[in-house]
Amino acid sequence: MYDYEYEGDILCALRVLKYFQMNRPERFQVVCECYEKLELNTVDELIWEVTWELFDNVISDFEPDFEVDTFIVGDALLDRLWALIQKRSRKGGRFSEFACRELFRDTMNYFLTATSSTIARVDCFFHREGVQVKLWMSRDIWEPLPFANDVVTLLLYLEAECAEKSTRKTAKKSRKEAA
Amino acid sequence: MWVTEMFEFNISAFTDRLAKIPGRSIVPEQPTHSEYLQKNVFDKLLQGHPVELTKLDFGTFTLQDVTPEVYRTQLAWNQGKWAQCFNKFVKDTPVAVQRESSFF
Repeated sequence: MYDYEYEGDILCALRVLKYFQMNRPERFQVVCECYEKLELNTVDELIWEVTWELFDNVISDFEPDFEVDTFIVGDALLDRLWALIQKRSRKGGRFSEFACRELFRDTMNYFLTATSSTIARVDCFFHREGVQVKLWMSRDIWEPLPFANDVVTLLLYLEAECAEKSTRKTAKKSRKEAA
Repeated sequence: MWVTEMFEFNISAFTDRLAKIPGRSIVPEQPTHSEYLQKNVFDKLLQGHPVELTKLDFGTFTLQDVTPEVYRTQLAWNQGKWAQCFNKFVKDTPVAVQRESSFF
């Protein structure tokens, strides 16, 4: 579309930066001032750093037994979706709660391994307060651009899901009050 | 006076309604060419100059404008593969075991 050999990589980087700018404008400004330039030599490092800025909190670690890096991420969108799913599980009983946990795990796997093999494994830890997702990095493959875009796609999906579920909940409450 | 009525599940009505619900896809829409990106990003890169992030106006383009076609294709392929696996799983599961449906 733009007659540039690496336009796919640059567009991927711009998509992540655009989402970053929309959601965390202050941090975006800091990162832009730190990196200053968008160029092919440094785009991978830039986008890798930006990826972990997209979540509310991130804890990086190293698993010595497997010799891989891990990242434990938490975000308000993940907690919100889990809270909405939990309400459904309380009505259905124990089997329904298990199904909801599996649905959440499948959602994470679906999005975070969609176009990249950077993530080797995804674990989800469910707490009363929320949920944390532990990402195990692949030992052999590092594809920051498609992985970052998968993260953006996941967050966009979570935003849409939470907005839709909240709208349905509000509409149901309004119907009850009207009756 | 409360009146209770038994309703029979009408599969035809259910499938008709289901067909009318708009499908949801996570695959972004087709990107459009942006003159701003052509001039301020790609022309500069073609000339061998880097793009200065602080001078780039991110308000002039949308997420849709910067979704590469190759990424859209991969997302669509991934979605199709998951759907195939899901269908296979449901097809092989005995009816008696399906106590609850979960849609994704």
